[in-house]
Amino acid sequence: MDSVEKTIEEIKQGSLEEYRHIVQKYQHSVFKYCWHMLGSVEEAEDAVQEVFIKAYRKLDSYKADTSFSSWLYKIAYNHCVDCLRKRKNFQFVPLLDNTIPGYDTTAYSVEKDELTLLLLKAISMLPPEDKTVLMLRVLEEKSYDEIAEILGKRSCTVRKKYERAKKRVKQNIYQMKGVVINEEYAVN
Amino acid sequence: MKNMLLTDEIEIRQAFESMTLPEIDVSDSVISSIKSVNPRNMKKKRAFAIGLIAAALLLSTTAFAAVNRWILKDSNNNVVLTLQGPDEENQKPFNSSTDPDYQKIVSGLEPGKAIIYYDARQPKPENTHTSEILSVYCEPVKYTDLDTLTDDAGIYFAIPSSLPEGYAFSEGYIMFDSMPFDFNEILGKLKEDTMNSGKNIAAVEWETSSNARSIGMVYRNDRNEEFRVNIFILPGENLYTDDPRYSKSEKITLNGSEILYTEVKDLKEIIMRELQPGGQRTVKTFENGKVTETVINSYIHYTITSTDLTREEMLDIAESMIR
Repeated sequence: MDSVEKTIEEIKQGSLEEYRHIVQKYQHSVFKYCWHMLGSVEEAEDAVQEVFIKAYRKLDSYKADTSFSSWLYKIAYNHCVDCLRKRKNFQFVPLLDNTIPGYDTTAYSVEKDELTLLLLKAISMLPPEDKTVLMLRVLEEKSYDEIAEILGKRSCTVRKKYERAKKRVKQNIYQMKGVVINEEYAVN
Repeated sequence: MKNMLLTDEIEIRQAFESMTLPEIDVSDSVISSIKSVNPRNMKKKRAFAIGLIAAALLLSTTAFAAVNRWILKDSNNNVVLTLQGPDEENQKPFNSSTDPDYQKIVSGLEPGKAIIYYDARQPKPENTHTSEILSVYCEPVKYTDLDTLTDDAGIYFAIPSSLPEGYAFSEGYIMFDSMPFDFNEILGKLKEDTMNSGKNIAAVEWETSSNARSIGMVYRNDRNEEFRVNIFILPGENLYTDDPRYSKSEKITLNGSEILYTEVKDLKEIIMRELQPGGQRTVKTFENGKVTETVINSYIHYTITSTDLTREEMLDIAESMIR
């Protein structure tokens, strides 16, 4: 049993202060994930709080045979999807586009690199599930099996989604640059 | 061909990592929210709560009739709810809330906990059948998630299914009933405490049950305009009163149910009720050695209040709540 699982067991026994350490350990990565999903610092921060409150309430259902962070991302994913649903329609969250009303461009900074900006914008245009696959795979270095567990999909489906997400990112970049290409030719 | 490299994992990773989001620390707010949520959430509802609805409940006014002090007992004779109201003839309402000792006790109370308190200054009822008074205060539990609130309430109640444009649930609370207690035992202990300490008020902390006594929900829009839905679970038939405060009072039928629409200056209020399923209770009164039993219905009372909404918007909300 690793240290996180041990801490979780202590929390289950009633040590609430130990849960503070868990929150502090994971909040930044969950925040980043929520921000990419929701596109607003304020909403993402609210989401992080809700995710950790929900996680605490569901702690009894957590089994040590899955990684805690995967379990946490599953809650975060479901929560973000709920938030997006409450907006009535799924919307692509535009990144780095300060012409969109209400879009928060002041609360973060990013390197002024054209390619990076394009890439982030292209990722932001992905549907929530594809975005989650891409983030968890690339940023969190989760295995396909772990992502499959988080999304409730089969591992082979996640692998396909991942490849498709990368392809979509590339398409989005081309479209933003005003280049329309046939999907078949966009594969590496 | 740099564009072709953009979708490589390394490039994507660098893009993700290039983001510098503000530092946040939600640990305090998470921990305090968890503390404010009743620990019951992690357990199954107590069998007691189910029994409360299913069992034949006995509302006995034994010895407390003159002050409308109702003691609700379940079929095993356990006290599950105490209701207190002033007797207009013999008992004036006594307010302890401004007392510094009372404020100190209540301010330190955790959400979801109750106190039973005794105030030595409370006038003893003149009626000889009436005992002295204990009061119960339950600290509300706050919620920011509507689903959690409805799950925790332990009863089924109506919530607005149609909201004015731009409004969403913002926050809410549940005040739970206190757990059963032995009236005479607690009274004896608290009276002794007041005598020993020389203070007017003595209190004992108590647990709350899984049953909501009152529920409040606040809905807001992005201009911070709001309306509130408050719900009270109380036994009794009388709902509509001609409150002299109302500048306008109108009975309206919506979906076959009668509601009351009222206005007091800018404040608009809708009052309505529904029969609480399984809420029939037997009231037992003792007078001159004679026992009288009366079955009364228990209602869920709803109020919708706002200074921001129009009458039509208020009525639309009410209509969406009536099944």
